[in-house]
Amino acid sequence: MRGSVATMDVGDVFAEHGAWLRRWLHGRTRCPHRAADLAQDTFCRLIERPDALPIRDARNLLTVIARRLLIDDIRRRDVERAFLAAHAELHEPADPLTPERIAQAVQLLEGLALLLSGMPAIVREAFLLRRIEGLAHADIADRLGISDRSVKRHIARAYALCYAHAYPDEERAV
Amino acid sequence: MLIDRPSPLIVARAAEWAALFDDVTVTDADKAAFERWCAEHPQHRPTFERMAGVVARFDGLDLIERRTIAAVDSGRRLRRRVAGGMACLALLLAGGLAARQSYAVRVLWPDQRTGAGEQRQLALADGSRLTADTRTRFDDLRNGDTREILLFEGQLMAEVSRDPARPFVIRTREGTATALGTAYSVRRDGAGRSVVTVIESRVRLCPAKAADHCRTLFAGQRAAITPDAIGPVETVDPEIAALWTTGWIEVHDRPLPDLLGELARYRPAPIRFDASELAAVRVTGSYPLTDPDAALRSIAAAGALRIEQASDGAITLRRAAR
Repeated sequence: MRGSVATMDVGDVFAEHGAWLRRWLHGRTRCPHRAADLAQDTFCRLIERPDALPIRDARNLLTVIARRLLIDDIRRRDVERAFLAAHAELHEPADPLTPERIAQAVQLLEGLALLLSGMPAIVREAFLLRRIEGLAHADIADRLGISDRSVKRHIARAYALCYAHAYPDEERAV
Repeated sequence: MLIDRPSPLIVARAAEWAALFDDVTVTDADKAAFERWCAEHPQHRPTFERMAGVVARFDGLDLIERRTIAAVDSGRRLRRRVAGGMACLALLLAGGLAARQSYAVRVLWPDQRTGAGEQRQLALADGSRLTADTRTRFDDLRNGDTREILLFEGQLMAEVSRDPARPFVIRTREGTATALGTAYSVRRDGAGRSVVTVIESRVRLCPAKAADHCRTLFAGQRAAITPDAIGPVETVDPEIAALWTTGWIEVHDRPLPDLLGELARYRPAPIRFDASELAAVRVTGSYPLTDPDAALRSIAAAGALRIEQASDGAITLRRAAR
């Protein structure tokens, strides 16, 4: 029953595993609407796959995609919640939120959060103190109780990770 | 220009330089040493500059965005133990999706991006010139053998220097437009189409998923690429079609909503209007794209329309009461 037929196309996969995927997602989101949305996105991703290889193990492939979307979804919700909270706390009265503004900010911030999530804790902490709080390296050294040289090393690591994140190794297939 | 992929050693060294220049204390001797390093290899400076470009995205954040990043980070630390296992598993399983992920990442971190209302001209090392329109993001993938631009969003005009050995290609998700001559533009319209307009000579269009459905367009022709097909060919005035690169738009007896849709691309905040109310209003004239608010004022004055500006910058256009 697991889609082992080499020539199975996305329509067949949907017919055979769609309901199963929604149940699988429902078990993880505990929300039928989110599960349905994420299931739909999963099949969209499947259709957009750059390699039109035949689907071999459909359920495995579906869970790989769905898990990734689930993690993205959680991150996006975290970022949106944090952005709305920060806005409520800090905004000027003449600065109302529009849906466009929220969507734009969340897209940018989500990208930055994803980048940061790939950094080791100490590297991220040093990097954030520099970029978000604007501290000089000497002040970061004091704050973290490490040497100036270590701060430089962590910051350099952060730069290298930023590069690796933005310019991944894979061929840039469209 | 980046030539192939820099070695891990070059990336690490560029990161050390970046960390040195990251702090407030930089000496003239440091700067001189950096310049010597840059001169050692053609990949050195571009790698450093790309790296600095990624990090610079943090510097443009406003107070609210900074607070958001800090809050997400501290929330994440509390949950790390739980989520870590899941994220690792997903990474292990996701190998087959690398190419897809790579595109998603590159869209967020393009080599070049322009903001709302911004236009930018780039002189390329091979003598070609690119003009990037408002809200455009693209990667420059040129190396010794190929000249390829990956357009994620927005519009580009390419004026291509002749080099038969190295075709000049603008690639989008929908397909490719390869220069057979000199000047053409490609615009992703946000509805899954890449619209190609040929200003001079010829351009070959190929859909991403139907390589045998290519088609050659000539000067003054325009067609949309979708992943599976090339759409019907329209005829345009090449001079008017290229006018945006000078910061202007010229329209002849067009419905006002069309023009407003164009101008909206150049404003950070939206332009709101009731399309059915304004559809009957026709406009003719030249309008400055790089100053859309001035364009709107002149449109409103000519068409007896009322402009309301909200505190967030959004503009609403209505018919003035008779």
